[in-house]
Amino acid sequence: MNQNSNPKETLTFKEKLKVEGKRLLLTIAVVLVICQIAFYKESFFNVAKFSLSFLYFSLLPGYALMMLLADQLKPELRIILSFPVGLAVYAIVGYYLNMIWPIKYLLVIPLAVILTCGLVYYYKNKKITAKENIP
Amino acid sequence: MDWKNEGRITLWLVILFLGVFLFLGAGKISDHQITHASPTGMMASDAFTHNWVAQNTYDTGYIDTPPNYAFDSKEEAEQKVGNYKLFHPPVLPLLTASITQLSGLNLYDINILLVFLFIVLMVALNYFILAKFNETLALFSLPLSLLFLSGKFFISLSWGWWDFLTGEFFLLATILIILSEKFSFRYIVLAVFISITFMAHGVEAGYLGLFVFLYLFFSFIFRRKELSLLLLEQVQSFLLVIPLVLYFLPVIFKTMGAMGYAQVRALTNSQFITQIYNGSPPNYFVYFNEFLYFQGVILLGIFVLFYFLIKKRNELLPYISFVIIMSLFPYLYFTAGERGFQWRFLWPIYLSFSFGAVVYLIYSLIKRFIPSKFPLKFLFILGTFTTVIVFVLPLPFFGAGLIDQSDYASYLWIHKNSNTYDKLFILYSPINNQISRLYLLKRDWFVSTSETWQNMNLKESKLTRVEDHDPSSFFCERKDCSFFEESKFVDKVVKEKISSYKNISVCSVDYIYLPLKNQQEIFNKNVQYLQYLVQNNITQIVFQNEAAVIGKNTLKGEACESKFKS
Repeated sequence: MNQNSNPKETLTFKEKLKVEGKRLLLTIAVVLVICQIAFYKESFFNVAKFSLSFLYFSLLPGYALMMLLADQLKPELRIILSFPVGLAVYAIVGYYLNMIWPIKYLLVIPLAVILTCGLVYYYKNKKITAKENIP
Repeated sequence: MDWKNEGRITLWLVILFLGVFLFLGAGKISDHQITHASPTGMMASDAFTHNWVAQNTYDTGYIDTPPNYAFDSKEEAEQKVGNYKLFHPPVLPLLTASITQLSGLNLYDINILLVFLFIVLMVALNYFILAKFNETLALFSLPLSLLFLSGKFFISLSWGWWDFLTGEFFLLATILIILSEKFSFRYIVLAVFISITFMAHGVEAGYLGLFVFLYLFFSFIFRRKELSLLLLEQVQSFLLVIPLVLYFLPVIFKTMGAMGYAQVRALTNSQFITQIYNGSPPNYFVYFNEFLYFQGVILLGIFVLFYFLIKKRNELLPYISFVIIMSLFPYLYFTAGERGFQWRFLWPIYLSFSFGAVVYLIYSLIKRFIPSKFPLKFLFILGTFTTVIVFVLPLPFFGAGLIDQSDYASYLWIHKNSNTYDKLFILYSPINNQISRLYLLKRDWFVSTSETWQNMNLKESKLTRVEDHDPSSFFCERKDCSFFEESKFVDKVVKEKISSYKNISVCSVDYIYLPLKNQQEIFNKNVQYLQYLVQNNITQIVFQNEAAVIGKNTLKGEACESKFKS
């Protein structure tokens, strides 16, 4: 974060991230709880493995992309659309990369999407913050 | 109660409903477990087909690579294996294999659960689409979706219409994004969704075309000022779709497309049933009476909501028109046939709006006289939920499905103990008519038909009219599914179909697989045949459990043939 930026603006950006983070964590928790109840005979470890793996390919990259491309949308709409967005981006990129890489290497795609979106989001907001700070 | 909190409570009610839907659906079919000792919940051949494609993607690491056992030797495999492309829709297998790779759980468990999660998400997407018109109506619509878990609707999952369900999931997501508020890069998301819908199940991209047409048509009538911008957005996304699907386009059109898999037929419903099914439709075709006592309510609801939407010139008009047209397709001269009936599996989700509309109408009439609206709303959702659930319950646990634990144990024995290029002969069992259940054997096999069984005798090694399975049958050779070369794919498929029934000698196979769960008469002859092979030292029993006996041929070729001659 830019050290010279207005503390109020910095806080707003931080707050924004905090709110988004909370929303994301709440969604993950809800999915985990729902899956644990639906599959109550299964160990929590396996439920977590299944749910988190699913979320890794769907919600997480999808949410990162939707934060970047569509942050005007209502949060609940953004969350529900994150699932198909994440899965679609993975499937398309994965389908073409699979011509050269085996499946096990494709597992980095969601992480790469999340990191790239995170970086772009950070610099986009930093730029906006810096512009707003010009007297 | 303020509106903000009420909205939040509504959202929690939706989440609660989705949880119940998952519990009663995926929970019940899988006996509330994620991991199973064998594939669970798969009741028909198609489910195993999709499962096998995903399993092969996982095993080989590549979508486009056929298994090594599709070839006769290691040398042949090394030479030819890179020469293929998968023409089965790649989206579901890729996602399944990837989640399996990360989670380390069984692929067959992940596969069916993933499809059910798509259905749960479809219910949610449909809610958000309807909420564009009215949140309360959308909430009242939810309970009807529970009907999906009962009767013929549910066989779309258990019988394996999985690619269709995947395509529909992305179709609904595309519709929601088109109907949502415009944002700067919406055309990019739209392009990704259109491409994935096409790749997941090509026909759904056609349905999407119909929706976009209706969307632009209603925009032309009601929002003419925005039309040029909306058109521009569609053009922008279409330009992006082209490079995204360019590679896949010839793969699908020169294979499944050329073989008529789209099943687009210009017939009326009755013509279709008479010409294709001799007047009696197959038992999985869904008719309106599957809606039980809700038929009248649904018909009334369609008119009620349509009236509301026209009156308010609401943006939901294209969606509701789309659902109505799609639902009536089998009765019109357009896309009748299997695809028209396939769509009906999702009637409880798509037509839930009409149920919601009727309940909403009653609610609107009553709420005038009741000061406290939220408790009334809660009472209504509870009442409608209870009413539908009474018709849906009890939901039986179907059991393991077409392969149980002991069947799968025999499969696992084969994987562990036989060589990749070994050939199997499977003795007759009527259950093997659902032929894809044998795909998970992961070997090259010949399966006995009823004719083979009838002609099978102890005096000769010849087995007549056995079905030869080709493990590379979901792949096309690269030159047959590329843009620039002339495709001979259909000719090859026709030739292979003709030659897929052949006469072989029992002396040419490496293993003999005897299914034990069988009709008594079939069982007796099969056992007698295997016993003869064992007594004559041709075959040695190497595996036995309550589902199957596996014999290994210790004698092959001439040495084996001479035993029959003597």
